[in-house]
Amino acid sequence: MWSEIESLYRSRFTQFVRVARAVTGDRDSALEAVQDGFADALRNAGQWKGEGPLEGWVWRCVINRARKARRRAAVEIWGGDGRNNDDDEGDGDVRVGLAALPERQRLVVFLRYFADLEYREIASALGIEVGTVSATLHAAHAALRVALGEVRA
Amino acid sequence: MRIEYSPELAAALDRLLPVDETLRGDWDAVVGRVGAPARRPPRRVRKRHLRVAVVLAAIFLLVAGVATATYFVTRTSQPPAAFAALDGGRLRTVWRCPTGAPADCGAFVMDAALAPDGRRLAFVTGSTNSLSLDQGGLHIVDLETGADRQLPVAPSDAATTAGQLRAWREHLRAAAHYLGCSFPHELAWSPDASRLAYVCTAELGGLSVGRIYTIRADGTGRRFLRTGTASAFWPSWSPDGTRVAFSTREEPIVHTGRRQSGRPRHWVWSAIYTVGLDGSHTQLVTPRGAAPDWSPDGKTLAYWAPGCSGSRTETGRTRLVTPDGRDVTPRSSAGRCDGIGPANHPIAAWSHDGRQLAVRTWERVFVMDVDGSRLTAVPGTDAFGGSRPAWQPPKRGGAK
Repeated sequence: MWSEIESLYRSRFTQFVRVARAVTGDRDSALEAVQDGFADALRNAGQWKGEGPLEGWVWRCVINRARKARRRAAVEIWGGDGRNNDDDEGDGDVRVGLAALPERQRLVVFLRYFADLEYREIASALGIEVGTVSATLHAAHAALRVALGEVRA
Repeated sequence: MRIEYSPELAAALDRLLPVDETLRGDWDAVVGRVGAPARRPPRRVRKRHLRVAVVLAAIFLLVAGVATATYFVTRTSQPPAAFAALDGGRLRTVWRCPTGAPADCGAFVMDAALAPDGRRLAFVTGSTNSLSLDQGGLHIVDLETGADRQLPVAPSDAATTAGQLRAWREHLRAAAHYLGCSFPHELAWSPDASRLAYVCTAELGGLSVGRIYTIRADGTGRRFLRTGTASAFWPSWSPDGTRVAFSTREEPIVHTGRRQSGRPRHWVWSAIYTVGLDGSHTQLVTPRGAAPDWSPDGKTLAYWAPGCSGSRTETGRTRLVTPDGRDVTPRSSAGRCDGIGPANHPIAAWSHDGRQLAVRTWERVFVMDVDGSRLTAVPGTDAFGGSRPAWQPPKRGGAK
């Protein structure tokens, strides 16, 4: 088990940090969340019952840590003031659209696009059904379509 | 199953948060955070440990049975107002309206709080006479001597209607001077019983706006607590007296009006925060909850959580959370999102030993263990009203 988790850490580190950063809004706290999340996974490896992919379970540990770090910092990440990102291509609308999404939809989007996870892995990471992942992602796409200008296109 | 994917969104997200290829992980640091794995003791040692554990558990239960006897103060259901303590299963009166008081003395009691030393009882009262409805005040009663300090002192009955109105206006002015409002409520004593926190409420745009003040036990030194939020209710002191937990609404979810169809116009959620006494370091505990109460060890807050569906008609139950926002509610048989204990507007109060919660609902007061087990309704509390239950301090030689 430890070797599989270590392999996951070494091969997918940047994706874990990217998702954690999307949740926390801050690079340093994202790195902390990834380190702590993997430590949680190792510490509680005996609790994984083999239901669903191991990667999904590790993602859950990291996301829990990232959400906790965000709560502690009490920051509003995607509804920010635009200092972190340039809006040359109208991406500010996307950021605002993401900020307006319910947390679950936002997490599904992060895991789908930043971590490139499949529905089953997202379901395991968030502790929800696969069908719920599909419906949630569909709802998020519909909400963000306006921000992306796809309706006008 | 076709996996939904939007290339436009993917490109936008890549621009917003590009991959940082310079990052390198440190696996050894992860392993270092785990700590050395515990070695499994030999079977013989395990058996001996088990026997010792059983003996210790038996001793603990024996002591706990004595230590967790319930003591708390509640208002009696029938006027004249009196406060009674449940002492070893029997209600014992600790205060009642003084002899010679008007017949409606204390019939309108808003809130009560027992000081941690068990000696002083603070409560807010008024009379039911329509003209003198607001002629109440904050009482701080010494339960040993019976001395009653009232702030401000209610005016004596004026002979004429004009006299009553004048006395009423003067009383309101005095209340605003001393307390900041005519009806302080949601009282909470500081751990050292030196100060009392309370809420003053005003109506603004159809919504109640609460402000928390603290005042010394002798009625002087009123201070406004800068919470950093637009509204604040249900103060609860940290055990070290340096911080106050509060919620931004009196209930987990409220609505500010109704459409013609009868459906709510706006929903407003209550969040729970903690803040330093000087107004510094406001920290979010949970975005949805109300009426927090800090545990005696400072590690947990019990609060009134909304129901599973988020509907206001579902009045929610009690949940537990750490001050940094980690949910530690024991799983109930009803489901993951449900809380513990009774429903119907639960306001919880920790026992002094941190093992039990007294929960006021709109029906009565209940007592339960912190895991939600051994739920018991307290007799005689069926018209308890809106006050948070207050536990009496343990008797000497009893629980801490």
